[in-house]
Amino acid sequence: MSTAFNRTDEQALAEQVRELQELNAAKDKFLSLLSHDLRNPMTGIKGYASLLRANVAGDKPQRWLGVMIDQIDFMTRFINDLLDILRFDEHRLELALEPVDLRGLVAAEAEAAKKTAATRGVTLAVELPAGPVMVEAETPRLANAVRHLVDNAVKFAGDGGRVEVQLAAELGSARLTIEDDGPGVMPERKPYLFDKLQGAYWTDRLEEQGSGLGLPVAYRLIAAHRGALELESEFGRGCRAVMRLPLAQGRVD
Amino acid sequence: MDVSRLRKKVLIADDKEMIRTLIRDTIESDGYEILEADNGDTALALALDHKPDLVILDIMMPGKIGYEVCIALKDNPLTADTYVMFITGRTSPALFSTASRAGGDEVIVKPFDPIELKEKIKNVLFSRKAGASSVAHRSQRSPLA
Repeated sequence: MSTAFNRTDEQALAEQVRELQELNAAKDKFLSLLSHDLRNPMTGIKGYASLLRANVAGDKPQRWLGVMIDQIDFMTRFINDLLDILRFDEHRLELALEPVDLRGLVAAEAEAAKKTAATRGVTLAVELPAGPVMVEAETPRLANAVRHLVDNAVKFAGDGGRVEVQLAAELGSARLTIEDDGPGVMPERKPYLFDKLQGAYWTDRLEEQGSGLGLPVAYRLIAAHRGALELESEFGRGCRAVMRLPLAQGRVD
Repeated sequence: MDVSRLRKKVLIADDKEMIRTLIRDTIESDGYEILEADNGDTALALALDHKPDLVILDIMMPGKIGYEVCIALKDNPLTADTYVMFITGRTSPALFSTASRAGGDEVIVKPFDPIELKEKIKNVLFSRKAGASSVAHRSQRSPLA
């Protein structure tokens, strides 16, 4: 009697799990379609803002149109990040790999972050090794992951803070460490750092501008490169992001 | 002398009127003869009729999709030299290889910068007969591998 009852229970549970999985897949599919369909209206807004900027004189209109274009570019990056997250989670993220010296990639992203760092009074120190650090990578996607990590560190270091970026090659792998002296990660947030939805909830509460997709997309892009991302942090004592990737020559033997 | 024969012809094929108008607004001051199609079948018919120098081709369109239109153009000796610029909002890992297999010369991803597109089109239309300089311009295209 009780066995039959349990089986029914299990069946009901299995049914519920299946329904939830289908619902989740439908949600991801919807997000993907939505993201694609936003491209046409965004093309129109960015396109006409750019045409206006090329045809309108005056500092103020130039600045206003510049803000519009920057925000559209932000939305484009957000949509690309969201699509990459969905692709990775559905095992559809394919990379066009080529040999890349990580030193150039890291230097470029650190350089790009210097302007924001300067306006926030954040010191950004970069340490690169003398010899090449070759990995197999799709440059735009790996650069995007590194950009998110550096931007996060600069954002959380806060006014007058310090960010240290260090690249090294060791034991067949490349190790990139990005360390900030900001407030660190709240313990209750730790389990959800790489979750695509939790990231968005928490960003809301942190009152910081950002998509909340930075860590989730960086984690997935690095994993897609057969690497790993770890975040070490003690609340109140800053945060250290460590990215490890297999060295290109390490794959030969 | 028929001056109109010297004007470069550009065919814009996209089912979104706003996108066609944006591209027209971007390049019409450069004096091209501009044709428009809102589906793949019309695009192919117009291209065979008018033999444009450049076709800007959306990939997902009603009727023949962009890839099919491109294959038909490149297979026809009368239009095989037409430069085909795919324009798409749907990026996928297979996009560049499929576009290349269809014979496309370049892929533009939405949202694009119209000022960059304008310059790109100028390069395509005025460098192809310019001998050595065309090699330099070719190297600026998006990789189609």
